[in-house]
Amino acid sequence: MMENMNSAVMRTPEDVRNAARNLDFPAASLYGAASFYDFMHGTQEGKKAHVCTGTVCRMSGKEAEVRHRLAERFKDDEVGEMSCVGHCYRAGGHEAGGSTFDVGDIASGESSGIPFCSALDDSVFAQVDDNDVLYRAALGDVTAMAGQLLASGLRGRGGAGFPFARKLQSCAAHPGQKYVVCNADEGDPGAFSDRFLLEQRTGLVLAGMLAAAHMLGARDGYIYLRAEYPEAAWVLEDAIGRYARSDAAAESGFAFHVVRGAGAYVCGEETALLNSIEGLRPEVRLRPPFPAESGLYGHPTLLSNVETFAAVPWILAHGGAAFAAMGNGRSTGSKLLSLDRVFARPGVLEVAMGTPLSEVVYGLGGGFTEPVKALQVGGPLGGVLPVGMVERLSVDFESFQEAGFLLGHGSIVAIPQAFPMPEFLAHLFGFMADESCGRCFPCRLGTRKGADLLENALQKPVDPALFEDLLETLERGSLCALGGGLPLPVRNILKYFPGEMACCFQPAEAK
Amino acid sequence: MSASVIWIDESPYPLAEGETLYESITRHLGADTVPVLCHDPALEPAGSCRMCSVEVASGRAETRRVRAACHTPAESGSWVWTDSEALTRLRRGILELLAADLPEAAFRPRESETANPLQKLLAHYGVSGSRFPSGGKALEVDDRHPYLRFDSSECILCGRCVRACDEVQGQFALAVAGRGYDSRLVRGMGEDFTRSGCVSCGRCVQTCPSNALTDRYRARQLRSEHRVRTTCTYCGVGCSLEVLVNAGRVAAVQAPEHAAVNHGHACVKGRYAFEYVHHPDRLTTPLIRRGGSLQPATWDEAYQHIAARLRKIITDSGADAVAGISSARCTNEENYLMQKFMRAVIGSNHIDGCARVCHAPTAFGMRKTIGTGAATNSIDDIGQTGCLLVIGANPTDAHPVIGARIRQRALKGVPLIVIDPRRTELAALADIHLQVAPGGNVPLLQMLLHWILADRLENTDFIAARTEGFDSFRQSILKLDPGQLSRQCGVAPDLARKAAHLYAGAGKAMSFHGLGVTEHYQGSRAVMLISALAMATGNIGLPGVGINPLRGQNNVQGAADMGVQPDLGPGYLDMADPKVREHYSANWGAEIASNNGLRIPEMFRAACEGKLRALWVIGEDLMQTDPNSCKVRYSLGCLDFLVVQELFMTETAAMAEVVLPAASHLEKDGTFTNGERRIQRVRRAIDPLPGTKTDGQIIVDIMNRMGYAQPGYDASLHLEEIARVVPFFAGVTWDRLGDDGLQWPVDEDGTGTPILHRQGFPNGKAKFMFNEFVPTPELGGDRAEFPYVLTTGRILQHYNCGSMTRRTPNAQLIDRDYLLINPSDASYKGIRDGDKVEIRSRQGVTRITARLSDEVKPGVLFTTFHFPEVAINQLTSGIFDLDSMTPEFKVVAVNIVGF
Repeated sequence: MMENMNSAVMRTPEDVRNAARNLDFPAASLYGAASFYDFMHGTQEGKKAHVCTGTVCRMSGKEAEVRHRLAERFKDDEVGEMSCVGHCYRAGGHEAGGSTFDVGDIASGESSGIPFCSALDDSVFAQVDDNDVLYRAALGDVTAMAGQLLASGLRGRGGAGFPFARKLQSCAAHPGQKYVVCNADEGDPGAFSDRFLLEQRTGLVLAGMLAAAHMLGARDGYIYLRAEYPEAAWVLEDAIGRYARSDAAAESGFAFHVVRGAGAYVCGEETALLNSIEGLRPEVRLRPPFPAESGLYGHPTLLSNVETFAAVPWILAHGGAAFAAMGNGRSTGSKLLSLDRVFARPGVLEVAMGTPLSEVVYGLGGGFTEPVKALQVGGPLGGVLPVGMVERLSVDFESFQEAGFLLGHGSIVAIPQAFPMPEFLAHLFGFMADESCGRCFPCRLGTRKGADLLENALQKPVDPALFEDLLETLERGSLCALGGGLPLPVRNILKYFPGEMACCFQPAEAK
Repeated sequence: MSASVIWIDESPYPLAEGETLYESITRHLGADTVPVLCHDPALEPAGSCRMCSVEVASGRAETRRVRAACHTPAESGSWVWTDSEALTRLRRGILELLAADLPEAAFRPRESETANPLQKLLAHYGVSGSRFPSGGKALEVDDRHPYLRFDSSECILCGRCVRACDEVQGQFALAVAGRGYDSRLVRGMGEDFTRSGCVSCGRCVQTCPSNALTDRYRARQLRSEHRVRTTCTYCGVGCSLEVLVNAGRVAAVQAPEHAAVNHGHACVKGRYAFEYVHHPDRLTTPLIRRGGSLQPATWDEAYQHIAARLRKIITDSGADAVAGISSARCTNEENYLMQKFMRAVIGSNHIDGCARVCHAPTAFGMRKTIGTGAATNSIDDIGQTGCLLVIGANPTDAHPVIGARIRQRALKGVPLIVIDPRRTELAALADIHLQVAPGGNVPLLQMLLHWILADRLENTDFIAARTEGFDSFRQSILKLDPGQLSRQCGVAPDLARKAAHLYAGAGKAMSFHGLGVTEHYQGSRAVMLISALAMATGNIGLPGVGINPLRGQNNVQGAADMGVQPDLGPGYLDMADPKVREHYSANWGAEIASNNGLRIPEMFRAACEGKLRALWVIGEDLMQTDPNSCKVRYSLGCLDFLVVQELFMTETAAMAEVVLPAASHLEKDGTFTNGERRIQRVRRAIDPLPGTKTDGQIIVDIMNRMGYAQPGYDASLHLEEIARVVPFFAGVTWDRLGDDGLQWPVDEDGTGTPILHRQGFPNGKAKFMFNEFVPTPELGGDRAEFPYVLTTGRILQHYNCGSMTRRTPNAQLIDRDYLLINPSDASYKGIRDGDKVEIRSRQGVTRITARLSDEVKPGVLFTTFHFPEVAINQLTSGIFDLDSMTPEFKVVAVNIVGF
């Protein structure tokens, strides 16, 4: 349904009415869904170029330069905003004419690739020349494959870290037609490792999905790709075209479908993503039931992240034990990290789980190019840790969790010493307010009211008791991790940077 | 301790399979234990407001987690705390966030109103303002609809209205648009109610927990002096309604949430179209024709006049010269009294009712085949069936609450087959729409049966055990040629075959039929074929199956049950049988008429011939709703004496010698019997308007004037008598009926019968009846002069002659009858949308507004009959059902002669 919505024109009520008639969908419901997305019916609809407003680009100070350059080619009202195009390794990200660029590309006018570096001798995500080899391997003996995946200890790379083999088992245990869905809605500002895999390791992603489909007997797989990654769309379409002509396609009967998002961060949440594919408002669904039981169109659905699927071919080729051997206890294998432009060696970095964070930051990442006071790891809902804590952490789920942070999807955003924390916090709250789906009251109202309070905090300091009440309401009341997770980085900032934040708060007069 | 226990607030309670925490908590501790805003137990949980958050742990000392009770499954052995300091803080926090954007007026109810759920919670948690900044919310007031109003300032976006529209009505007229804080409720595509596809059922208003959605009457929150539960008068569904009364006037109507029939739902007529009750046009004094015009008179004068006139006519011409037409809008007790008045006091079996113009063929056809002329199953069975077959009925307009139920099931994937000349709302949604040519029901049903039998889809066990006449029926059906049948009915054989397989293969299939089946030359015979479909496939006597006529008026079933037909007395006992007459005579203490009673069309003929001299009509506008108005006018003109009991001065009342002002159903007690045989109480919400009397009291008065001692109108008293006289009412008492009534037959001990024919049939076995198709004479002969076929029906907003609904704001929703014409016909004739066109039939001519629509096939025209300006029945034909004398309203040969 979302595919059809993307190709339908929906500017006026009459357009929507016609589209609804053509799609055999209730008009009000279609309008309700379409109006959710930035690029379909919202403020960004019909823009010809977009400036990236992701966290890294915002902090980089390159925005003015980019806007200046775009003004040479586009009228003011033709330039919109996007968050984020995944060029955080150089910043100054922008989109024009269906391609994305950063400051480094302005001179040449060509979009350059994402730098990739693996710390492993045998990279899990190494380039493979012949995708057909991968596809053939994906159609192996089902029992053996399941055994290897179980032995690998592979956990979901989207951030939640749920064991992949268990998800497979659960999906297989529920009767009926199955679907495989790849979450390629890498919405975290600062993360671009999935974009790297989709554009440069496409075969690994497809082969991973094919293997899962083969094990489940699924006939259709959907890749939900965010609109902000236009290049990945045609790379995927091209690879899927080749796959469709391959023996593997003939043998398996499995078909890939690319469904493009239209600008909504919350679609990275798995149930919102499913609603989006179905043409419904991409609001978070109630759980249970989980997608493995009742997912896409109510069928059992295996839904995983790009990086999770991309790790599967290596496991099938090298065995689960080899993958598990790389790890650190319950976090096995390797992990991709996205290092932003403040690092001396920015780009996608692959390390074994358990690698000390200091090794990543100061060794492999080459340290910082300017003074940095904190890192935000794992996206906007990940923790904000002062640089001093880098020594105490290692790259695995447990280490971060024990210290009160989140490894999440593995993006590392460096907050420069010079960037004011109040502004960072206001930006964070504002982003969540813009992206809250609105389904639950605490998040819909709390993120906006919080953003409003912080935006004016310098003129009108916030009552700390009120702010604490708000955080508690968000934390305990929200339906999903978007509202429920926001208090984590907020509390980190309040705890570790009390001095800088003091100017924003002042207790209200006792009533 | 048994496994299925849940600990709520430190006490153990039994756990039911599959229930949510909310269901478990409220079941044991009451609805108010956990606060909710977005939750309505009648709708799917949404988990939006989070007010129902509770603390849950796997043991008393384990870690407590916060969970929304409305959608969290209750697990055995878990511990739940419904309140704590932290929960109170959370709930207050959510309310304070809401409060930031609420206008001052939203916090407290108006003087005349009660607090809404939001106001109650704000007060309970002591939230009278907010520390959060306000503003930024989009503000909008939509007040362009005659009933519904939306004020976004009080909208908390709980989504209950959207779910009510989607899950109960199935209209999808509402949606939430935008994202996050900027989300807003939209009607249609961000327009207003009037252009949203909304059908004004009001379910959204009923569930709204704030005052964002309200109606003209502020029904949900209005304070009222009395609340009276009664039964709707607008169709055979028989919805329960709660009437709010203030200062002796009907102030608003609500649908009770737990009503067995409608479960909190209603339609635009039942919920909103009540203002006619207090309309200044109401007749409030008896009228007697003096010197050519109707003059006000006292009741005493009117009664004296009537009694004298009737006595004289009986003396001069015999009781046979007097006839009565009772009303399916009146109560069972009133109908019973009217036929008793005719049979026991006047001494004539000339008693008939409006079933003659609607479902008499159903009664006839079903009695001939399965022995009982009533729905075999219950409305709730829609929830259990595996296939829905809708024949010649348009329930989303004419029986909206059933229409919505069918819609919901079809949306959830239950196969739906619709047989209708028009692409109705359900036809558009159906898996298979068999767009039969008007007059083609019999060959189409024969074709369905042909495929069932030819493809060996019949249920041989059921046929062998419970039916007779199958072999010869089978032979006759198999002899028919599908190609020939297809030409006769206009439906392709393959499509009919698919439908036959769907119906026969469903396991449980349920059929519904309406006047599109009965009002035909071979109406009764089509009904016999519908019976045959169910009999051949074993779809009788189980939940989720059966033959279910959709009754047109609220009490068509009851009027027939009470003996409002010339040949059968109360309880369908044959008047020709002397033992039956003895039974009535013993109960009524009077000699019972033994003449052959006349049916309505026969009454008209007898009037023309001078044999019938006096006619008494209750609540029926014969001039507007009987076919061939010109002939009706002539017939009524031939009478010596016409008495009409009415609410308003109808075309028929205007011809009367005496007009008696009657009270509406909101002004009387009694019972109605709905289409699923459910006898439900009608309760007086207000006193009869000054000057009016209930129909029952009028009949009682005249019975006494005519020398028969009949106690005053008292529903419970009459019901006692009915229970003695009508066998299947044996256990019915006023008190036993309670709020939800009982489905007949009702045993002595008060047990009702939701499903008929579980074991046997009244005549032992069900009988297959075969009849050859005979095309209607209306479409025979030379068609060149009348090349189009006109068919008629109802629209959602109006009810029959419209005398009630036209006097409510429903008239603002639809203010005229339209003629639907296929665009290709329109273009051939040069007609544009909205043109006034003149259409002519063999009987008459009228002018009407054209509306271009592909709902009708080329060659077919459709219109409604609600407005006297059009008076479409001037055109309808003089053809009748071969067996029951029901007029063939549904097929009229017409031409469009000019515009």
